[in-house]
Amino acid sequence: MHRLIALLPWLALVAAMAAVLATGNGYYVTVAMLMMLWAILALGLNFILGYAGYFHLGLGAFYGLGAYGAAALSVSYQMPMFVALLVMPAAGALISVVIGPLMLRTRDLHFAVATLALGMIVSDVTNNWVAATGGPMGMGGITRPGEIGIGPLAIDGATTSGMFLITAAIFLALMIVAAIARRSDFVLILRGIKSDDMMTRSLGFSTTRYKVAAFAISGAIASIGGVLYAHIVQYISPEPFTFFAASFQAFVVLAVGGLGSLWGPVLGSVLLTGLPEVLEMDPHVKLLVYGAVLLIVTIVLPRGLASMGQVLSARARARASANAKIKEHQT
Amino acid sequence: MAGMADRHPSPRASPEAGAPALDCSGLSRAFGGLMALNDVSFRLGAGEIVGILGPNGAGKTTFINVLSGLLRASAGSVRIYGDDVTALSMEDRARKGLFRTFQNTRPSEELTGREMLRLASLTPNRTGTSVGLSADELLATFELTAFADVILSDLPYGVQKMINLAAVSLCRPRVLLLDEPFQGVADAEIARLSDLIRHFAASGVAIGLVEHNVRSVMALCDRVLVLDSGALIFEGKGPDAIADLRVQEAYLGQRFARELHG
Repeated sequence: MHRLIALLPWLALVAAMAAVLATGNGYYVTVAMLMMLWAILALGLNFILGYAGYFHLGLGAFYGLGAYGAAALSVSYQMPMFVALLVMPAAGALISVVIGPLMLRTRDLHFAVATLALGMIVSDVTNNWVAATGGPMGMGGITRPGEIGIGPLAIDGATTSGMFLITAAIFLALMIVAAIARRSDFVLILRGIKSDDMMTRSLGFSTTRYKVAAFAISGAIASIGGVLYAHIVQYISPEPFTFFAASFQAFVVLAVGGLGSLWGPVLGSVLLTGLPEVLEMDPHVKLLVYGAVLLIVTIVLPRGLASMGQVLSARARARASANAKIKEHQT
Repeated sequence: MAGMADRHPSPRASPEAGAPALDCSGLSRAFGGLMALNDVSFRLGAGEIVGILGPNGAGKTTFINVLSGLLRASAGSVRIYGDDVTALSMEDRARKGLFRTFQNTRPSEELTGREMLRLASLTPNRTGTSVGLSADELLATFELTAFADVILSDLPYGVQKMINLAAVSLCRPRVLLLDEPFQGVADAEIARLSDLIRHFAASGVAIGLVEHNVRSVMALCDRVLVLDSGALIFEGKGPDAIADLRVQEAYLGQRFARELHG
């Protein structure tokens, strides 16, 4: 019974994806792809921020790395997308492992500032290294994958629905990895670090290694997001990888959805990506409504949208016990 | 403590026959010009419980911090069963079987009691043997089973202390250093903690504990050390410590100590 209930959100997710695809509406399908993209970035950020408790404010650096790397591999080397899907997360992880030990000497606000600086450096490079990145003009002509599979099971990656299926497959695979990781010893040790680094060291764990691993996983997953972005949009420029557009947005998606939760990244992304699309109004009013919704969610559900079930059931229990007490009093 | 008395943990063989579980010699630690720990030497045998006493500021916590590797020694050495660990970090000493608890536990807003015990049991320490109680048995012993799935910061302070002690015992310690294990704990729980500490010692763990509660230390410890201004001023049986003039001076000041002695 318990296991069946745990399966329900997965079924709902797959059903929602199928429903979007069935509409055949290019706009809906594209918005759904963006939702998956933000959910991927947030679930990656969950490792270093949600579990280990380190405020990584430079995820955009790795997101940009994945996107620019994918663009270069496609445009300059005519490599298919799956090559970028293997190479770029490996590059993201490698860079994290090299700079991680240095960055993770700091913590709290200092780590936040160090990662912020990392994001700014990458933003600066994307703007100014014109020969490699195209500078502010960006890079176009990124080739989507062609036919994949055979016969009736074949999908055409060049079409929006084909790209949707590829994105959905990668997203679901990452969700399954996240679900398994969440119950793992590794994540328990990260949560021990978040709780008290010194106590965790006293139990014999070399906490720096675990933090670097979490940092590398977040970087690798953000790079996968970047590769997908480059192939979905087929054109990249510096703007989507800047602090407010990427690092900060991923942070908000995760915080609103619920730090350290499995479904938080999905719920946060659906709300934050969906809301601006649904709200068809004056851009200024839209921003006000958007801000108000965020404020309400953070006040009502400080542990994120994913804690909604717990909060509701706790309220129901409290009400039930109050009712029982009243009855007891009456009799 | 039903179930504990009828267990007979096998006495563990020390890796280097004859070497004490913990051996420190000439241990010093300076903070700037201040000697917080000054040339302290002592040995702790397997299965022994030693109390570390001293007035406020005597250097007790510094002593535990230097022994456990949280602080580096300015001079001197620390050995575990003959193995020199002076250059090792706290986490590497833990892997040699040296574990500690902290005086001020920052309550975890992240982990439940059961998760804390699971985390401890994942320790990379491969030395030592089990103290003979599983996580569930420890929870049952402390009558904590009902609270096992509550986030630690929502539990009373004394309960958190018990869970921390239970956790560290799951790490298969060879040497266990406890920094004020009874602070903020109710009397009934002190008795329970003391029983458990005795049980760990009976299974061969060498235990050093810093504590302000002198009565509990006297009841529990085979031997006491008294520190004053970073120096070891007494080592011996508990009752002798109370009768010792230097100890009285350290606690009461010279004048009152002299009056007490007549």
